[in-house]
Amino acid sequence: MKIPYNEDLRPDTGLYNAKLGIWLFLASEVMLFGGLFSAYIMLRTSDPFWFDIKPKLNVPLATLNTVFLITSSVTMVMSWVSLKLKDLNKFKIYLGLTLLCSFGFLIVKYFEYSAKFAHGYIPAYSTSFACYFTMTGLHVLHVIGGIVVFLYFIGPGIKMWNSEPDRFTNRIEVAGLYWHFVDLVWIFLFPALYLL
Amino acid sequence: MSEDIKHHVKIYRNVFIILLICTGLTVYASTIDFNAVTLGLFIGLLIACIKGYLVAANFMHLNNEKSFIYGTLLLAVVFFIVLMSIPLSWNMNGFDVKTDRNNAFDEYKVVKDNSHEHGEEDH
Repeated sequence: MKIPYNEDLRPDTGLYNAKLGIWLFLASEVMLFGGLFSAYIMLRTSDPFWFDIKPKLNVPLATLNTVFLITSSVTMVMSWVSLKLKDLNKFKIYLGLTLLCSFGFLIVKYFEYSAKFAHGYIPAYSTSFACYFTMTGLHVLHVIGGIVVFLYFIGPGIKMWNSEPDRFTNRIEVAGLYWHFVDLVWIFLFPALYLL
Repeated sequence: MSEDIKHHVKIYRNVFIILLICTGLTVYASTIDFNAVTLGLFIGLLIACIKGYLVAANFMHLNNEKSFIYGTLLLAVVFFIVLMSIPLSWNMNGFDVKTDRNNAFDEYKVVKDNSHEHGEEDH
């Protein structure tokens, strides 16, 4: 039995089901990170030692990570465009680049975390480091989630392109929306934790 | 269709360049010694908001989306504002967190100023 509104738009919402689903999910994600940002403001404004963390964070590495995520957002949207233009080879290239950037992000984060642990800057060190590890850690989990999805789409999931190309294109759009949200969160995390 | 997509590709490229410039600006702004801390905070968050808008409007296509999605997000935005207002109301209600730290691994002591004593008197 064919699941309805995987490709066609529902007449009442004007959307295909997965798109509505991902936006509802992203709305819940806004709440998740919103709660953390709210706690962050509360803890930061009441901690006189907060600024101890600033010289201990590596701004150049975080800037590099920002560039990785922004680039990956562009390559992600370009992979979707490639499918719209029926060019599967370009899709593979762009999704591959997205994966490369996301792995780059994780590698940089690994070096960053390692340096912190080596100096004893663990979450228990201070409120600021607890906030830093909680917020960036949750964000890293989201990046890993995105990588798993991308690996599926560039691997076994790509078979769908032969049988249901429109549905596959929609899947990439939905994955892209998630990925842009991950980028969006980092855009606010970067100045909040590293710069301000 | 093809022309429309090519037009979008140009937009994506331009947004990408603007995002990179804004990232550089954010880092540069953080090195400037503003007289007021709030000014530095405001500028940093303003640039972040511009970047966030560019990503949401162009990459997530929120500048041209169905009204049903706007309705869904409106609810999230309302609750987000409530979440952000909690720290403000917390400060205004006279709570104060004091820390007593002799070394980095000391536990933070949270003291609710006056409220305990006043509360006990009330009882």
